Amino acid sequence: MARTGIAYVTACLGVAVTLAACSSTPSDTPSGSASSVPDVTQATPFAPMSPPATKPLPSVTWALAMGEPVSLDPISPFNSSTNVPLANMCEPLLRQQPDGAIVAGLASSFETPDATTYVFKLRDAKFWDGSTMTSADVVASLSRAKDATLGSGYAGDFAGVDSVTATDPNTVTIKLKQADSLFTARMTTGAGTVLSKAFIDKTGGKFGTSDTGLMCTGPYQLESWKSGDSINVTAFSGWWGLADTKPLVPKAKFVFITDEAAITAASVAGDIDGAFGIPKVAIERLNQGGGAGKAFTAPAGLIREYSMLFGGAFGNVKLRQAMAKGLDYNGINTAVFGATAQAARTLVSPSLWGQGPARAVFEQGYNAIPLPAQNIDEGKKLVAESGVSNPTVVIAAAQGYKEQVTLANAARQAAEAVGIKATVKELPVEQFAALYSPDPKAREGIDMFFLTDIAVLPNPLGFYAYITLPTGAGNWAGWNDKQAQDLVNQALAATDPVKQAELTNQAQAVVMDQLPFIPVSYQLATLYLKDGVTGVQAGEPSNFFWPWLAYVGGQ
Amino acid sequence: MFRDFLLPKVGMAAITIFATSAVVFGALYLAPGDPVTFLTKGRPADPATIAAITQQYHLNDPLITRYQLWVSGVLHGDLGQSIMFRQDVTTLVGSRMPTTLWLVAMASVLIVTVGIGVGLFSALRPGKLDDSLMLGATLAAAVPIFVIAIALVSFFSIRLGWFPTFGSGESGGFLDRLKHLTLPAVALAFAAVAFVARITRASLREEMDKEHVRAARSRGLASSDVVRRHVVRNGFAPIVTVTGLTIAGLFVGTAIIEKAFALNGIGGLLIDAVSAGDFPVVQAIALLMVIVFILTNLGTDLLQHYLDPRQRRAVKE
Amino acid sequence: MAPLLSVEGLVVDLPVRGPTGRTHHRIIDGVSFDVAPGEAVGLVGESGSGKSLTLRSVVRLLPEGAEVRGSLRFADADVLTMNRKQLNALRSSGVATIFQDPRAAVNPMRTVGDFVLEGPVRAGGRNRDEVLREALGLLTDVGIDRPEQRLRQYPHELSGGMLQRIVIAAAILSRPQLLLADEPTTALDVTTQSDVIAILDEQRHERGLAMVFVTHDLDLAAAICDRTCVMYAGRIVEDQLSSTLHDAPQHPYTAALVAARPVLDIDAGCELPVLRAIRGRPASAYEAPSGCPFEPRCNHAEPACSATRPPEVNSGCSRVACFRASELRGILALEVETHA
Repeated sequence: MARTGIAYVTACLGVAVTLAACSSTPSDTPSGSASSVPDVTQATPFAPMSPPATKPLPSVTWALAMGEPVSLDPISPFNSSTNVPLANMCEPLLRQQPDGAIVAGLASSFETPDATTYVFKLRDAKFWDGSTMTSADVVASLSRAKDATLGSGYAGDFAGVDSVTATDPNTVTIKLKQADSLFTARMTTGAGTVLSKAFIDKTGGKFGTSDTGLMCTGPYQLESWKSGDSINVTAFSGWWGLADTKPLVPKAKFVFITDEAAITAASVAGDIDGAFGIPKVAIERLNQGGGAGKAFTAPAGLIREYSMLFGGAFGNVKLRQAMAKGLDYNGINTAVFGATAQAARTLVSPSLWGQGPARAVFEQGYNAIPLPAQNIDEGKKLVAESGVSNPTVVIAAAQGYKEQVTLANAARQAAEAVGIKATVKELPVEQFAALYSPDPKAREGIDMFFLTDIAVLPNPLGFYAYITLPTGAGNWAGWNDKQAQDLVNQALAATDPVKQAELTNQAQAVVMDQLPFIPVSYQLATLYLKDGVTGVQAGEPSNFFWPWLAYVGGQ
Repeated sequence: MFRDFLLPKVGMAAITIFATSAVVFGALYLAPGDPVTFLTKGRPADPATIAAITQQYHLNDPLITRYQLWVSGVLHGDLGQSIMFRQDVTTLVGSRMPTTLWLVAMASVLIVTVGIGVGLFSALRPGKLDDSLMLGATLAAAVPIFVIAIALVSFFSIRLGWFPTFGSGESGGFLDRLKHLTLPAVALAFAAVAFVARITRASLREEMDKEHVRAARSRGLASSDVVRRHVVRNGFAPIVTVTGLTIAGLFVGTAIIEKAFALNGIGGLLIDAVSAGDFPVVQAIALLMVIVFILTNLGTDLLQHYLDPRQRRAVKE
Repeated sequence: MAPLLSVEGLVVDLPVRGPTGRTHHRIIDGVSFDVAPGEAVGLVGESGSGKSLTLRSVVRLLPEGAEVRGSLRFADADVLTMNRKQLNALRSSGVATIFQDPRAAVNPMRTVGDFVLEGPVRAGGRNRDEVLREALGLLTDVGIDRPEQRLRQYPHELSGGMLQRIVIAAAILSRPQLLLADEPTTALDVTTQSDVIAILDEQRHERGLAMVFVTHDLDLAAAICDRTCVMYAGRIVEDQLSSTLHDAPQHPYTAALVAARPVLDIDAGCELPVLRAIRGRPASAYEAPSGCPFEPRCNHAEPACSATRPPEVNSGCSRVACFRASELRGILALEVETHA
């Protein structure tokens, strides 16, 4: 039912295999080194990634490091290439602020007469073609998002939705089958994004491609999409938000640069004004100075983790715990991820704590979990306690991806250090990707693998529901822990945010004890800004759904 | 001429194109990568979605049926729909064709002028400069294309700021395009220039040692006449063939260059399409590349035919 | 009468790329001979003896990096010190060369007419129409039918014999005083060889041209040359009137060459002719011993032969380089006779 986390392997896996190795690694066998990865032990108040913009700029060129989006349809599966430009064009009912707070979006307000009913009041917003947004547009958009056969990546978010009704032209009523404390958060994503119904009807639902375009309400409208070359947007003079926010950039061009060397060169030369998700090599080069701009990092909803499978030795919790004791976290993170790594206590980064009274509760729960550290002796003890003699495991890696192979080997070393016999098995990319598909056959004979997962809801509960519940898309391992499931279900039904956070913390404690996943580090969002360009407030996930470009400008 | 020379060639070309399309189709079928995985981003999808995709792209039909469907589509001018972009392949490939053609055209100009020029110079002026030019050419031909791209960018774009680091300059005018595509074209042509220079030199040197050149010298012809009328004219046959094939081969190299310089050409599209299992696009681009290759080959043959009287008369008889 | 061509002490070293870098190999080691106007001189020897290179030296048609010493005078002009222009003038009108294989010597990509006219028109600077008229006449003279059509054809469309006749005609067309013929029939069919030789001989006599004729065929040289020079290891070992060379060789090498010819002995009936090969293998100048270069293969060698190089000794109208020339005279004649 809950689908709030989105699995994808490494940032690289979408990119062609034929090109240069994705991520360069200084050494194949990471070992403990003097420098250590930063740990966030307290909730730092929200600080903008770069100072606010004060001056207009004639235009900006923004690089999409994951390449050309295959679609700009808001319901297409989450992808940074799609969502980074789209966030400025199409808007959801509610918005996720850069600091994680959920605020009004196209719905100016909403009421919850009971735990399973949401009544959204729509604001007076216009589409780019001048037509007024009505409840009919919302109903049409949400029913598309609900429909998996249209290729919607958000259909799972509607599993608990009973009905979506246009009560009057400015009111939409949504009935749930049961209470879902994450529902408002879900409405800040592609699930709650509104398109023009007239446009949907006119194009027969086939839009968001380079030849059909879009029709939304956001601060920027799609001017042109030149296949393979660029997506161009211009400021929309009829945007409802102009009273509060005046975009400083009248037009922007999104270009597609996947090659690591190319994006590094473009950043250093200043041929682009900004880019999210620049690779480690670019950060390192920009930090050397002498370039036309700077690299920034900020917390994001990305977790690097080992996924543990239960069919073999790791069905035994002591062996999973032993494995976690064997890993050299600091060594792996400094050697492989460098400046983009932040030490991870849990599976959910502090950037997803959101705002409000729950935030302090999440902070407490987070700090109650110790920072994972290598302890070989304890690991050996755990293996002995497991009662399994001569445990052996197979660690999978995606073939041809250096980072994958390095991380699988690091896990093999860790396992052998604590007394688990381990082998690394390299799988073709497609076979590797099937490891996190619903098909259990794909996982046969494999005990663990490394991946990067992303959470987009500003609430840790989203991710824990995703990996805990039997219906959770992140629970491909079939982890079936009654205690954790009960806690998550109670949290989903809780109406009080503090209560919900407390229950989430308890679920988190169970997860971190049972270790269906072993966190390695949080991946920081990375950003390049050319000197003189500023105003980007936060990393991910808010930039995927928040109109960040409306705040960008000069200094 | 038409019946004896062109007709068999065109016939062979048609057979080659047909055979290649079958091979590409089969290879793609066997290769890992499947549109369902791509469309669902490797994430769990419900059976209805998978069924819809499977139905739309005839994924459950046998290979032969799918191939027949594709061929009949092509014969009706329909190259199908891109799975990745959900767009007509014709539009998709068509919109990206100009960049690749520009890139290849600019690289070809470099190969013909610089490659043949350096080879000619080297062949006619033996000595230290010739030796070092040829050593340089041997080394240049061995450097991987993406290394050259990085080196060019770091020097000409970052250090000197003469050229942009990426993009095709499609939206700008002629000069803008030229400026954007200069470095990519140089990188693309680099190894080929070196190769053609070496072939040119070798071919002309070989020709210079021929008896008929010595005979021409023995008759008191001026050196320039000997070189022009006997050495260059005769040595050109292999140079034309090699240059033609090299230029046809450039289309393959565009894949790496277009990625390295973020250009919207068909080479970069091919890479994306292959990894996404987007077979209508892969098939269309492969077909296009084969056609270009065959046409270049045909052009080379025709030129050869015109250049070498022995071939011309042989056909006539 | 002053010689037309005078070669004196010609030494040619050719560059070779060896394992230790560039070195030189001596190919011609002190060759001297004169050619009088209208006289035909044959240069005979085994391959590697330097006969072809000697011929090419006459018009300085040598490979890149060759070193030449000695004296080469044509019509009293020093060939070795000529500048490019003078040399081209010499090549275009004084001396014409006929190469071994007409297929190789005529550019396959150009028409026969182009080849024929190129020399006199481009290099000789003569009027094209006038040359064309003369060429058509000459081609008929050398036995080419439909010459206009032939001129429009390409070399591969003509037979080797026909092409060589055209080459001869083209050589004569440049109005030279000296013809250099480098085994002009070796590459041709046996049936056309005698035709081509006959035409060459006839044209030469008709115009009173001098000729240096290189061949490995002693009989052929004897048949069309006034004098024959026998070369061995980059030197002339014997220079004699062709008419007497055959019966009275003065150098053991000449004698051996004469004896080694395959001769069909009609009297011997069905018996196969006896081939008397010369033992050993021919040496080039740079690998020859310091004494007489033929000494290792010579049946008449004495210890003295390997000590110093035998000088060329003139006697009457002949010249020989052998220490034992005078004592061997009778013996060599006998050797030759027994064989024949």
